[in-house]
Amino acid sequence: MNGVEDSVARNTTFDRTLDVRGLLCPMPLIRARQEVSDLAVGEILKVVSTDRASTRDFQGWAEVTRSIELLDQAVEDDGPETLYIHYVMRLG
Amino acid sequence: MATNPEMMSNSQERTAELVRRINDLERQVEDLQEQLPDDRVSIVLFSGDLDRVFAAFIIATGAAALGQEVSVFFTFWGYNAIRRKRSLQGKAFLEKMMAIMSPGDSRSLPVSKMNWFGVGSKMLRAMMKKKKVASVEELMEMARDMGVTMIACDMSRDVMGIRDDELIDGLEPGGVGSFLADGLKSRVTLFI
Repeated sequence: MNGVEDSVARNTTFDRTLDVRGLLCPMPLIRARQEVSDLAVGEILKVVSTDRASTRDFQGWAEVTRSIELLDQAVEDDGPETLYIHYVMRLG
Repeated sequence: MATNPEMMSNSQERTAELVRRINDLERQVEDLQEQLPDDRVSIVLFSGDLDRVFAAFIIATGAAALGQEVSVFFTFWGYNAIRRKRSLQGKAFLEKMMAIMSPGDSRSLPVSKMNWFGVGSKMLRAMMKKKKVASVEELMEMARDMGVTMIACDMSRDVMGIRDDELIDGLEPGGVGSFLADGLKSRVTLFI
């Protein structure tokens, strides 16, 4: 039900990780926004979520703002949970 | 005619100034174009009342017919419009209660006024049928055929304990970010 390929190994590097596992909409977006504003321009945040709606939500965020770029998204199996991972770079 | 060096440098400066201004204007036009809405209509269906669901899908199919890209975002009571069947298996107590108190599928939706324990809803359906107006189910089918994107709020689904197998096909899970991304690009945005 989402447009992201399953992947285990990705080459995307990152500067900080945000764990929002267990949180539902709109919390992954809100927490990521707070975290991104602490990054320097050009730094990358890796967001680890269990919210499957976050895939589309992060795409939407990247579409409507010029302050971030969504570099990559991934879906990973982690035991009983599925993880939805987003790499967000601060632009301005 | 001999060229006056002063005039020449003047006209070069003027040309450079004009080029700068044209570049500036092009950038501004590009910025503005980016901010113009697309041919797009975004609808939030929050209600599970037959009459409101009906209105939402008349607008959705109408907009699609008019060449708009349409998305319908289902949330809370709107889930009653996209439920295929009711299932109690494996649900927690409160989730079961929620399921029992909700209509089992779109055919059991109540009307917002004069429902009279479902009599009003049946009456409205009969009257529409008599006038050869498409039913909610037909409109939803049409919407799907016309490429209307249907997004279902995953948070409210999770809260109410609704599972994917209780829902119609063709839904995509989304949240406030995906609705706003659509809404911000739309000419018309409705909360029904």
